[in-house]
Amino acid sequence: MMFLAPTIVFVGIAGNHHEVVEKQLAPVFEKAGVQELVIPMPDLGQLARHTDASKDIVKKLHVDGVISGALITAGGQKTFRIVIYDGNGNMRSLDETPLAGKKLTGGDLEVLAINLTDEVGDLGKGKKPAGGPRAEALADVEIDPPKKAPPAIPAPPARKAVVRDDEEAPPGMPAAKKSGKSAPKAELATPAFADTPASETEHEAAPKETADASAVSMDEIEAMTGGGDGATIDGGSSTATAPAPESTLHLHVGGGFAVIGRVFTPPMALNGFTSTPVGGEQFAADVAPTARTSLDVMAERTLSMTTTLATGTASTVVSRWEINGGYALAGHDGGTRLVANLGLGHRAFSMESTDPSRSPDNEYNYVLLGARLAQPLGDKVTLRGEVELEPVFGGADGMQMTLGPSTRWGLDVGAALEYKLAAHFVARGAFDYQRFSWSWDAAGARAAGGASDSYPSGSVAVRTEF
Amino acid sequence: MKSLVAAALLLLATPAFAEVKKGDHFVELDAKSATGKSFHLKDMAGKWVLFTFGASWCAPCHKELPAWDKVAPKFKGKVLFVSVNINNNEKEGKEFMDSLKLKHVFPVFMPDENSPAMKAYDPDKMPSTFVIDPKGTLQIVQYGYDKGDEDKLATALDSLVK
Repeated sequence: MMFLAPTIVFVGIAGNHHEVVEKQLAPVFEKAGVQELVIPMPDLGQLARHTDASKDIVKKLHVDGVISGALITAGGQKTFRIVIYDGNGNMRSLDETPLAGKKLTGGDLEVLAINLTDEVGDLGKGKKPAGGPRAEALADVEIDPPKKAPPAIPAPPARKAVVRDDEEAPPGMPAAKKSGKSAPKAELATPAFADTPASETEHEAAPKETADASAVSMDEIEAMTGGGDGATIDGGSSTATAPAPESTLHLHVGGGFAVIGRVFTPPMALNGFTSTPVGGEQFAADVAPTARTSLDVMAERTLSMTTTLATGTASTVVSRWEINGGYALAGHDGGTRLVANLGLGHRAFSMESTDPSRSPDNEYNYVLLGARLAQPLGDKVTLRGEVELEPVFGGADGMQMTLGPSTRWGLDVGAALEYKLAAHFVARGAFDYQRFSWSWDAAGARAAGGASDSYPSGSVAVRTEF
Repeated sequence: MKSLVAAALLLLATPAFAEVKKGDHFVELDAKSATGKSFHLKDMAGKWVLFTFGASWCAPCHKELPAWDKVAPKFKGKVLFVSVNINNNEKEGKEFMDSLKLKHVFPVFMPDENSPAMKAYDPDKMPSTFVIDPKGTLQIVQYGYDKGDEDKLATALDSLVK
């Protein structure tokens, strides 16, 4: 049986201004016994970036080895990539050498020559016997490339992995050589480019899911990219992945100035109470451990309030605190947000006076059951609204001595406008109206019509976001 | 003569692409999620979206995607981070994405050779990163990745998104 010398072909360099480097390499290829072969540019691009199509492209050439090149530009630095395949389309090496201007240096050329000699020698060990389709195939490709059926969709040009000089190849990747002088040859021996049949890999055994015609929603992406501890996004398994609850903690803390008023209308001969709004302080904070859940607290009280009585002036305090848990029913991925909330609250009115004609103190411990709506208005403004039913379950009842046990419940409505001042600061203006209603089952006509205790308030505050 | 014919054929065979650039409206992707659902940029309207083309054979992508994954939480709720894997062998692409163990970057898969969208984006330098605003206009186009690029991008995003 007669053997031919190994047929190694150089198929060209993808990229602009490749002529200079090609001219430099011509004598190197000639010395190494490498033949030049013209292939369609899309195929050259596939070979230069080692795509899945590379194997078939190489096999169709019926040669013992294929050398392809590409010029890569990154940050103004041009790099020459040379990719070598054996006759079966398996990539043997991938080297990258920075260019000096538009050309290789003499030293780089020397190293390339050494590498090529080694490669050609190695590829020659697997050379094919004489005969077969090689010669015919070569003739077909070189003389008449247009007869090659074009792909249905034109293949894109070579995509270049931009490797910068200070980078190391990551694990599982072939070392992309920055300077040929330091490493004459970068052998590919890693699974990243290995041509492992799909059936031989563990991943293939994973259950497959039938392709879903529906589209990925923003909601899904936000939920899946929440990044809970230890939860990673499943890019590989084809099994359906339940959206992982978002767990990135968000915290808002704010303080501000409030004006608080009170209008108390009791039945019968008890004295009512009406105040003009007075200044107060307000604190609010909330934490959102997930995209859907939140917990917020607020507290407010009047700063300096007095009530004029027949016996003098009495120091008076109106205060409130609330703690509220929320669950977003909608809009946790942005847009209009609807939150159902449940919490506890405490409202108190107290006056330091023993004047028998004074209006009674009142205190309400209540449950909050409600809903909150947040509507973004552009990038910086958010409109908020809330409504809450507040059944009262305890607290000092200032009219119990006179009218007996009462049933009390409250209603709270509020609205707020928020404006994002800067990356972590939000200004907020809010209005709130809380009204408690009283009724007595056993008091008869003495308490007909019940009583009401209303607390209108307004506030301006600044909140910080983390 | 033979060389001239070959050169002419090369020119004919070279596809002409018009790369998208900053200020352009986005070109829709023809990508799918790991579960096979279609992924459309138009469905993300109203949000900033950062999407980056990468592949297992792209060495810098191995560093770039984890870098975006660290940056993403800072823009939670404002910017969606999407990795568009263009491995022609989807299994390789999925294994690559799995290996990165990303928490905040959503992976989608759009094999290079069958994608008309790739003609528009034509990321001939990998990785390549695009940011579109809530109206779908490309605001950032960045090619390549170098250590520290994520900080620069975060700064740029901060100024755009605030």
